Amino acid sequence: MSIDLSSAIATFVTESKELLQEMENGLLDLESENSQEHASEIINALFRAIHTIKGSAGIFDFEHVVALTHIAETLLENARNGELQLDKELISLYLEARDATETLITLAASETEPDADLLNKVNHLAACFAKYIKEQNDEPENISSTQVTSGNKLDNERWVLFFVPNENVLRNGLDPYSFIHYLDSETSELKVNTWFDAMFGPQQFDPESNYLSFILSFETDKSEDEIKDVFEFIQSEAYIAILPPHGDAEIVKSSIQKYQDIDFVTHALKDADPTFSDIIQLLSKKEQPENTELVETAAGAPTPANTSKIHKSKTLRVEALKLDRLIDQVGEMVITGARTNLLAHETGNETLIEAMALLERLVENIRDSSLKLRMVQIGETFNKFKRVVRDIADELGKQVDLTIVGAETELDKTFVEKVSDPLMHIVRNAIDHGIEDPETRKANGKSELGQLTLKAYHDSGSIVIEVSDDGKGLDQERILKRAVDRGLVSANQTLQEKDINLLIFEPGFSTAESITNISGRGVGMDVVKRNIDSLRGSVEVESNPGQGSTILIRLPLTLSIIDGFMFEVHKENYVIPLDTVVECLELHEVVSEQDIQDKSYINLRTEVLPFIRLRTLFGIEEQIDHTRESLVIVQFGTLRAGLVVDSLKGEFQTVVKPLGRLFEGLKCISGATILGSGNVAIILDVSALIKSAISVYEALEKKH
Amino acid sequence: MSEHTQEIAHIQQKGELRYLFVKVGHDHFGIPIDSVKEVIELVETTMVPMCSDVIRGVINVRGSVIPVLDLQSRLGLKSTTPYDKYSCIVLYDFFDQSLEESMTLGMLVNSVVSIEFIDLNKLESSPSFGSNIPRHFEWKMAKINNKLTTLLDIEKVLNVNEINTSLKHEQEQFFINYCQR
Repeated sequence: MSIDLSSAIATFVTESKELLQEMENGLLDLESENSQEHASEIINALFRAIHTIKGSAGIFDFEHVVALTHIAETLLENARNGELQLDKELISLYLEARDATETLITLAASETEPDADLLNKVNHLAACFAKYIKEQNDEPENISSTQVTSGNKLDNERWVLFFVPNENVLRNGLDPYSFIHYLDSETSELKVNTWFDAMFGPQQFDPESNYLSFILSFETDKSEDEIKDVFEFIQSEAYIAILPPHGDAEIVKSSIQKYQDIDFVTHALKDADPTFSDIIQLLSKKEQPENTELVETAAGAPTPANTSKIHKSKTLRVEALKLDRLIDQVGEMVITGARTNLLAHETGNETLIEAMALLERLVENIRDSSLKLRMVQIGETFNKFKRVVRDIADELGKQVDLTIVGAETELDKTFVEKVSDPLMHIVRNAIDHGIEDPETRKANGKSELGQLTLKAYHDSGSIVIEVSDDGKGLDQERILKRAVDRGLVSANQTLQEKDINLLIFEPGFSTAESITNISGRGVGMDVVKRNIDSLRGSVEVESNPGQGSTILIRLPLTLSIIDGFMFEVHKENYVIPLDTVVECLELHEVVSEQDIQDKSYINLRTEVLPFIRLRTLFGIEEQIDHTRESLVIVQFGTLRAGLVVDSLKGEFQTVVKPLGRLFEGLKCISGATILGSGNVAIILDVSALIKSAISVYEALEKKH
Repeated sequence: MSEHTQEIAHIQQKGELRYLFVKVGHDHFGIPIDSVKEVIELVETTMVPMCSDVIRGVINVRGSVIPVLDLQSRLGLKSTTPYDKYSCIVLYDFFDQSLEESMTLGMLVNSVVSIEFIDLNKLESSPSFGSNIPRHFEWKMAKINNKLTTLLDIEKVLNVNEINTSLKHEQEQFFINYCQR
């Protein structure tokens, strides 16, 4: 066979990784699962996962993977029958096996042989499994041997398997061939007889339907159950009957009815086993009349019960690159749409304007749905931490319970990838430094079980990810002392509480006296800050001594297209994200010119609102009339402030274009966008603008 | 691409380089032509707020946003000549070694003068002092029509890291000015 398997292998690798991930989640759930019913469901899922991996690995001849998963599966079978309880030790063993399988698959896919270390580990794992199996194995053997039923015995020497897949198997993603192939690898001297005449039947040929049925014969020393397992996945989608050597005539009788062509069956069975003579009599005598009747009904309505079973697949794998290209193109379409709209307005043609408005709404919808394509739920990322928490807690001898809230919160795929690393650091830190060991917790009157919560939710145009623990909280005194020692702050500087907390994100900062495996080197948290900054997000820390601390990560919703709000300052257009805008007012309506001559705040509905006059900030000397100025009130998190601008332009869909390396790190400018007219408008980062102003004000005050 | 490099090799063998000569202020300067993507007329630029005069603004070139440097200001010329209908933006493509990415920058010049072949063997070194632009921007002097003309060391002129640092500093200054007012 010279079929190029590389793409199939790639699919296998991604699928297996997903299955392994599912398996890990299942195992971890199992640990905390009390209900017997749920537990058995999980075990079933685990079994399916292992089995699928084993089966697919068999197709590609990945021996090591097959060997390991086979033994793992065998033991799990016992658990499934309720003969074996999966305790913590065994779950750990399975988790290890999971990791080993993942490594093996990656190696196998890249066509490298695993090294000695890994093989040792695999052998060790296999030995562990084997030990368990031995303890378990005595009883089931007996059962299967007594199961042999008396009756009408046939004289066949070889195994015969009747395999009639339903019409819909291909549509449901099951390929009968792979099962036969796998059977081939499990048994010897496989002979396949295929009946394909149905393909030329009266109804139109449907390439997605299955018209084939098989009679297989082989030799093996495996048990009937083991052979049956080969076809486990297709069981519900096919008729399968196994005739062991000297098997029961009833099996043949009932099986023959499934085939539409008696001649074929006779021929196939003869071919399957030349010594098989009983069958001829059997077929020619009793079965003939019964069968003709059945053939008629079968031909009239082939598998009528199953046509409704076609289920639609829920997910579709798409290459990320294709998606990016689509979103880029949609972005261009948005720009051109805006421009066309402008032109339409210039013509004054009402019908055209109306049609354009309709078109624009459609484009908007397309934009929204294509952006949603990139959105993924954060739950998958959160679930990874179950394992991390378990492992770290075990290593440190602490007891930690992880609670996940808001797993269904959706965020951009890019974020999910980039946020996983920072979260890892934060979680490690929380367990290592935050949560105390059980004795200390008990002494402090807390439950021995530490609580760690991962939470995600949407909040005013951004996504917030919260990591909170109920540990000892941040030791501000120590942080401050450490910071002074390191020269990060001067000793006489007075810092606010939240600023002290933020010091933990400084590079090289660590209050841990000793460096552990998990944390203490002081490299973790500054990575957090850097990564989050690069995503245009922010980090906040809240901490109550003795009660725990919370780290808040705030991220923008998307990266590439935003709903913007446009205004004008000194004949230039500026865009800010629409979701930061709270309201817009005429400045002269809320405050008189004299009132704000020498100060930059107004009294808005009994609320104090500081503002920034952009004209002055941008260094433009020329003044405009007070009555013409407008006030845009923006909010970012808890910060609320005003921006004084020349005039308002309203909502505007913007495709964020990067400004390039030249302007990188310029805090207040987050990008540019091309307007319908072809001109460029600068996108301002409102939060950075206000924060910069605040920090400069504070710095200046300290000087005085 | 290989053809292109071949051409350069060929020219270098002959000891000749092609240069684009532009007028910045009252002086002529030479820019190596092989990285010049195109020369476009001066279009309206969008000011980037809180940046020094070095940044003239950004423009839209077929859908991408490209920063434009004011070359008079970048070269630190004392007296500035206003830009007029002869002014052009030279789009310059280059690969930044330190960042390992290629980028396009625009350079605003008063006018484009000519394209000349420069004989590499007849170059003179720049004056040790007395020039009107910082010495590190000068690469060599070439004689064009019996007039000594400066060939720019374009890598130094378009040093993105340096400009970026100064821009950050500049932005800080804008805030301080605003808050002190």
